[in-house]
Amino acid sequence: MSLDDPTLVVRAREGDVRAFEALARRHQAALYRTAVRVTGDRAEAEDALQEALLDAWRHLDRFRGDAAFSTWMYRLVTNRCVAALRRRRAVPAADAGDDVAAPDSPERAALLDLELAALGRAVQDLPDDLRVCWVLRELEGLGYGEIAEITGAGETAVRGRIHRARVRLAGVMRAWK
Amino acid sequence: MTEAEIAPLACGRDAALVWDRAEAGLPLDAHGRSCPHCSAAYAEARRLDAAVHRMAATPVPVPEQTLEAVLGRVLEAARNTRPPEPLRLDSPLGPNRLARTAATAVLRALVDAMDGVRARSCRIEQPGPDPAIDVALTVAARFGLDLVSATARVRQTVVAMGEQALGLPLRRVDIEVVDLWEA
Repeated sequence: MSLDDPTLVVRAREGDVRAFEALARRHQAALYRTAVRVTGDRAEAEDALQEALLDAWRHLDRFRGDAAFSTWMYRLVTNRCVAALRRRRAVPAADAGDDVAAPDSPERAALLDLELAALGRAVQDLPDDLRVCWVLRELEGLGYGEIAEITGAGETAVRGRIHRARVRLAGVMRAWK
Repeated sequence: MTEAEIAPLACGRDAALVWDRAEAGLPLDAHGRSCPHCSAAYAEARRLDAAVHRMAATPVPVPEQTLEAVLGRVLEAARNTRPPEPLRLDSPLGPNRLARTAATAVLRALVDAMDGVRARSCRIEQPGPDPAIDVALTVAARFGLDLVSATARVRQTVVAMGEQALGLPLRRVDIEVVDLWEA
């Protein structure tokens, strides 16, 4: 029997760890995928996912049922990602381990697709706010309204960010071709 | 230009709209087909979109140990917070205690096993000196279900089987239907 998110959220809020486990299991793939694309680093993405899920457990009482649970989780995980990126940049010695676009990673070799690698690098070069909106729209397929809820930016601002990200990426890809 | 503004194309069209059309796989309208600016933006969008689609389709499997690690930390956090007062059970050999989360899990499972209803919130109070409990349940029901007989069924089941399963007399059972789901 599969229970819907609102049911699991209420149960988890009342201390049911198994209900929380079901929620985490259901949403972890999309959240991790998003975190990898936003941070460009699998280890950092895994940390962000873990922290976001713990944030969710601790603050379930703050989750208002008027938005979808997935929307709330996207917000928690993208916040964790952006915080991790800021920390990474604040430490100049730390090597930004960009293993999504690492030159000789098995993933890259398996892709055998230089265009995709170039796009990956271009995505990582976007400013954080543009990249978060672009990833949610283009890779997760979310609508402008939901992205506005996730990021806390207005829908018009979200639309502007996504468009600027697209134009930048198209520019980079044009030069690469 | 403010952050939100999008520079229009040279023909005056909203560039983001042209881009959205390309991504959605919709053809250009009559103006767009004959306009070099719209056509160029559309073609560029389609080119980028092909690579973006491949990127979106690339699987990114979650490391296997992630969920386990999270749940370990959740359980640790749960252990470190003071649990709610356990329920008192009468026993001729002395007082026993029952964790509330265990009792609510039992009652929810009774409701879940019934056709067309799912338990959501389950709160148990034990107000008096005697061990009798008051239960407040919220449930979601399948759309189209006769709610009067369904809630009567839930109450009957919870009273009869709850008492048996928990060893506690149920003094009061409140049931509120808070949501409906489409079968």
